[in-house]
Amino acid sequence: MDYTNWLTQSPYHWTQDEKEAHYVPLLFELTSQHCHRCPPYGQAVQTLYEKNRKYDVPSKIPMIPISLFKTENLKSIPDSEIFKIITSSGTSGVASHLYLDAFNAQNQQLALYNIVKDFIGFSRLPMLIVDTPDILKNRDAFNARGAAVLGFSIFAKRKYYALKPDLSVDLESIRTFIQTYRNQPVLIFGFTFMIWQYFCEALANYPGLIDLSNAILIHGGGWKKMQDRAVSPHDYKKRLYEQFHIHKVHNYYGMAEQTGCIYMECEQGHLHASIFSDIIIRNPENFSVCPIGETGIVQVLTPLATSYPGHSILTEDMGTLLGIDDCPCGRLGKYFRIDGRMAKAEIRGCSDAHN
Amino acid sequence: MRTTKNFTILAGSIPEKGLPQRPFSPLTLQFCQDFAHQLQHHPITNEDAAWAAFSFWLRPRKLEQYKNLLTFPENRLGRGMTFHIAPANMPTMFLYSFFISLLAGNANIVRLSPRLLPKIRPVCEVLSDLLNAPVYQPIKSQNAVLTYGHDRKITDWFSKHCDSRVIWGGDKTIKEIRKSPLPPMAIDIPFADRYSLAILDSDYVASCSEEELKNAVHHFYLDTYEVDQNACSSPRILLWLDSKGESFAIAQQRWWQAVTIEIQKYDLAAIKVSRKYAEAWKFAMHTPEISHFAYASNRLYVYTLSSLPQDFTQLSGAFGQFFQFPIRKSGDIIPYMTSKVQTITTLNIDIQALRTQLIQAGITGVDRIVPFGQAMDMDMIWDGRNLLDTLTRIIR
Repeated sequence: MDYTNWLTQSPYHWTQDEKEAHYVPLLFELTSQHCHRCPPYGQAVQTLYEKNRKYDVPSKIPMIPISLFKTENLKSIPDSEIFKIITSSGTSGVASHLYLDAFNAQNQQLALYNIVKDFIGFSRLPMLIVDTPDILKNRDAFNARGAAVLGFSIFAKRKYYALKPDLSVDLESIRTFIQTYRNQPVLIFGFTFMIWQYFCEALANYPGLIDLSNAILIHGGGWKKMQDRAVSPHDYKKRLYEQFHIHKVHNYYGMAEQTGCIYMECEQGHLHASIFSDIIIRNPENFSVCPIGETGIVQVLTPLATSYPGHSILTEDMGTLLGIDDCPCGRLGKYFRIDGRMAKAEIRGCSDAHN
Repeated sequence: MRTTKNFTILAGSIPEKGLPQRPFSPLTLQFCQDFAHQLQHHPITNEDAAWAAFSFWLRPRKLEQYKNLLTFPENRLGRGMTFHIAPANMPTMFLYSFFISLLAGNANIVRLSPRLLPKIRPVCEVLSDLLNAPVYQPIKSQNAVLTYGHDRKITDWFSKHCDSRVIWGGDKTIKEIRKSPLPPMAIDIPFADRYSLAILDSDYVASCSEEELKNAVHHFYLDTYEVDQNACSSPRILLWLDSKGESFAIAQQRWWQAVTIEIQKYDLAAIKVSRKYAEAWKFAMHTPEISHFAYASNRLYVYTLSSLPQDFTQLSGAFGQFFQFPIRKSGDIIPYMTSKVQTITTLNIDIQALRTQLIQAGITGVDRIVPFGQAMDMDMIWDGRNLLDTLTRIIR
């Protein structure tokens, strides 16, 4: 497949059949490439999967457990070609390491750009980041939040930060942002939990109206901490509307192990796979593919992972496929919901990067 | 239940001073009997058979047998105060640890992980109520079961005031607890991470009746799946004794087919599948000796080895993952029996002959050899040590 062409296409215009026709030979090819270039991966695939396996559907591509990116060094490129290492630290203190070459890193960015553009309608907007500017300064402590802020910075015409280094609200910055861009679309970005605690709750007793009705708000990082507070996605949106008059709110699902190809939530509240990645829901009993409506373990697949063997990953999240090609929002492909981490799993969520 | 600032007492009271008693004193025996009786009739034994197993372990006839494990019984006294760090993943273990030390004649402080509370609270209530009976006042004043988080200061304090410290929970816990110094005369009884294996008579499995097979598989289930194959004494590798080199193929096939049926009742939570699958990948990446991988759903993973790695204690999977390798004679295992090896569970093997053989070879490992189904049975002699002996002293 021609990556350049693929990465410029409209992100939700392939039917599932079209996508799978593109993906099967490509993911098969990627599997053999990674087997060849990343010996531990090759050794595992050779041992665990039968030889002469027929790769006629994406569900037959070997899937690597997500925790292996923490415990092993997995790369399919020589050290000289490492352009960037993404690390994502969970609360367990053990970080994942993803080795990217320039090609892989650039493709991830193109995919993200393409997906988000479909939702915000513009390439770049004035952007209010619900975090502190310090999140990008300390590169040693570069965590999931920092990585997400940096990733989304490509959509910023100009960046404003809503929080001070001590995570208290920076009212002056917010006021300037609102006054400057009162009459045009703006973007607000932050971690789900950060927005709730340090924006909504911190401004709960603010005497006046903070009017952000012209904003599109995008948030990600996981629901774990919201769930602990018994806040539903509905409550979350309702509060943003009541408090700030924001009516365009989009959650997304994503992970450091497959950066870029995030799963955006549409106007219907469904998470969508773009043409840049796909999901399969697996029955824990035997890893058989779950039909629509049945909850199982989420597997994520993307041809973007060329420099490390992460093109097919079994996550530690539970999810449910809601439909294929027929979401009322008009986006094609699979749409689904995330049902949280596996019960009593090691807590690894991006959202827990808050410290 | 009494709560101080830092810990919560679940039963008994903190002794002012540990007063040594004679082992198996009449009052202690009476207390054991009463406790076993009450536990036996408590609804919790229906929820988890492990509690029933404990009350069975404490019945009078057993106690009589344990007595015989002591030399110079008339000349013995408890060492004084025992401080127990109970394991967080085996709810019943604190009772074994506590009662062994109590029977030996010691005062006791038993520390439980707060994580265990939901599971052990009913049992602690039974224990607490019994200790509150006037007749058991002397025992209550000398024994406490309590819970606190990882609080170094409390551990320091109890360590400083004990005569024996029993540490369950494996290498990491031992390393952590040992940061708290003991008095010069006090002793540590540490239970480290161990590795266990099984030896099966291949000819027997290939030719035994369906009934015998089913029975053996059920016992195997109790040793493994029943405890998530995560106990020190759960076998991780199966060595098939195939003296003629003929029966291994058919025996192992017959065995795993029967196991597949038995394990349908196992609670295979998604989180277990996730860990197990990740372990499988790591084994596959780092163990070139794996010649074949077989699975029956996610309930059972079997790795057949082409040869035994020098240190096979690394091959330690949980939730139903088994390595296997055929051997020609039992002596073949001798070079591999490092000090980390604890239990050998056997199927149709002459245990006494094997024991003698291992002793004659002068091996550094192996602390017990038991038939299938007994891996989890707690014994007064554990990890090669007679606990009654260790927790008492002799006045010569």
